[in-house]
Amino acid sequence: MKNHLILGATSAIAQAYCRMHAGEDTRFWLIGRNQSRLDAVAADLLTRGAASATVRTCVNGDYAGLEAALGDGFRALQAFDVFLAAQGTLPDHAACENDARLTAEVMQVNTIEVMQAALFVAKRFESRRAGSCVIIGSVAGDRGRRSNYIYGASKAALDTFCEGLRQRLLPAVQVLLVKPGPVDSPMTALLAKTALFTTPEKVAADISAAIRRRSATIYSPGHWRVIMFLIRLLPRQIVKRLQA
Amino acid sequence: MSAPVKTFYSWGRRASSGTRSANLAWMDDALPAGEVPFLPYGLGRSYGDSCLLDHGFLVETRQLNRLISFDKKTGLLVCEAGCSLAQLLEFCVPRGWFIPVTPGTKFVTVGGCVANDVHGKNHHRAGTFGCFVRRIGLRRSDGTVRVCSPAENTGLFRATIGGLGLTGVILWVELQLRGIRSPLIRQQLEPLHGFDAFFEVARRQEAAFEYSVAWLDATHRGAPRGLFIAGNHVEDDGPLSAGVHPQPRFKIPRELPDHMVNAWSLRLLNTGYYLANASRNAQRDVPYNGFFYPLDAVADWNLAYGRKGLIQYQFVVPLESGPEALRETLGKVQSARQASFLTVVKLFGAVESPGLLSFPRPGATICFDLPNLGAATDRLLDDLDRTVFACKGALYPAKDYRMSRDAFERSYPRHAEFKSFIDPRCASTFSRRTGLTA
Repeated sequence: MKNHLILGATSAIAQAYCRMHAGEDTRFWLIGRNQSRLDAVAADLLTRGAASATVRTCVNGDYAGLEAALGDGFRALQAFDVFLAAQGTLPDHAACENDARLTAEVMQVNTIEVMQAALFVAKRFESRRAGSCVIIGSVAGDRGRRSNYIYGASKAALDTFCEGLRQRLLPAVQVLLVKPGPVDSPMTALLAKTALFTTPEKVAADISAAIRRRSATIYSPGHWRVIMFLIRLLPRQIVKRLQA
Repeated sequence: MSAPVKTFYSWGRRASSGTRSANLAWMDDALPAGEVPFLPYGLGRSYGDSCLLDHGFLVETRQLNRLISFDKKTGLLVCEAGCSLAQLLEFCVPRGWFIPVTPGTKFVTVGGCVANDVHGKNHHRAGTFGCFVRRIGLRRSDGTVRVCSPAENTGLFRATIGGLGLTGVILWVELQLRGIRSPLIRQQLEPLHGFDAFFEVARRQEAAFEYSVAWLDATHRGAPRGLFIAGNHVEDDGPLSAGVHPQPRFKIPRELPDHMVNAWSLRLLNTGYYLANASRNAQRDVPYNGFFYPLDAVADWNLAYGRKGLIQYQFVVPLESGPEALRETLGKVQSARQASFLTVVKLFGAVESPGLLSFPRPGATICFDLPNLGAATDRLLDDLDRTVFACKGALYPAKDYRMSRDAFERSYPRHAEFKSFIDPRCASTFSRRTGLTA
């Protein structure tokens, strides 16, 4: 039996990942915000043959609620093999620039709650000396961009966080940071789709492979590693003048 | 952030103009607010403009693709309407079930299959896709979700099957699958010569085969030649999952230059296909994927036709007019020096669909696909129309971009009854042209 703990279970990447594993002998503990949507995800996984799929909701900023939802999962299923933090929001950047509360909400959802959940899970993985902690970052976190640096900053923080957490948990526990390029999902519904877009299924397949290989950081699709390497090489004097 | 204007394409490369996108990834997602009309849009595989809407919203449903329930004893599946047949096949084939009626591509949504009441190679036995739909969850613009079935909201049920997306947004579908014991199809090929053969062989063989279609080499001069392609599900128990869900092997990366697909290249393709298969008279077992979806092996194959895209022209005529209609239309295509690769002839059976606007009806259906040569193609199609309507035939909306209101009403005598079920917010470029909506 393989147990998966998912934070942000209604995200397109989380759904694709869960589907990919639902045919196996697996149990899911699904945490999210919207009960009816979580129920739809659970029904899908059960129909595909999952042994169980339990749903827990919690609201924005309710730390106690989030820890209760996580703790219930560990009590019910004893141990998890994989923790996937797929929760995230892509804000209206211009609105965030003018309203600090919106920026705080982005950090809350994309960064703080993800860190909090990861720390909660890390303690249990650490004492069992097993598990994979998978966190979804973004290529947007690799370099600041005029058009989405608030989202980028919320994801960049996860990079540093994972680096430290990995040092703490290795070698027994894997900490995997996934940096997808733009993904065709409800989060990006308003963006014009370019050739750079990938599918949630592709990212989910890359995550599954990275868990097997016990990778530390992956880009998905893999060519983003090369693109972002080159972009990171750009001198600050040039980046400063970019408007993209 | 409001939705930016975006260009949508149909499979024949018709483009929308002034269209905005609205995403429906969850059943409770809001429909676009206001008075602007909308139309559900799945995977955009309709050839003409029945899946497009200028100056309105296209409600994209491809992320509404979850399974809801499955009874493994009876094969009754409930799924969200944006599920593609490809996704369903991955799920149901290893469990010993198959899509009851499938069109020539698996990259279509279940909602699209209902809205076009699609048919397949088994129409002579099974009828249309709509014959296997038990219930539909339909979201109307008044905020209600109507459960439609032969017993409940019957009128809306019959209007939604083949209703071209105009009765509201299909949220979920309950579908009766067909049991299989193997993922293989026992395929039978037989060369055909002469007009009558296309009808005689089909009639003679129908009883023996669940699936059948006749392919015709439209570039061959003189008496036509072609292939009768038929098959049955293999009845021996075998491994159900082995290598049966291939992804496309090739991809056309972008629109190829215009005229790459022309009379010469089509002649080459047709001749090559005929010669490669005409000698293989024997029966053999093939994976279902190659049997039902040969063109899916090349992703975005429509881009090979260039910027102007391709045109499919499909009609149905009463059986007795079949040979005459084929002789005339093929003659017109050839004398216009136009060529077709996917020329197929199929006999529809008598199984009646519940759909009010269903295209299949007893008779013979013939389909040409043509590179779009602009005015010359338009003239040819107008000429083909004369043959079709002289034979009391009908045209297929899923492949159409040009039929007039008169042609539509002649093809679909129940159009007036259908109109009363149209959702007041729904419209399509097709429905505006044919007078179904304003």
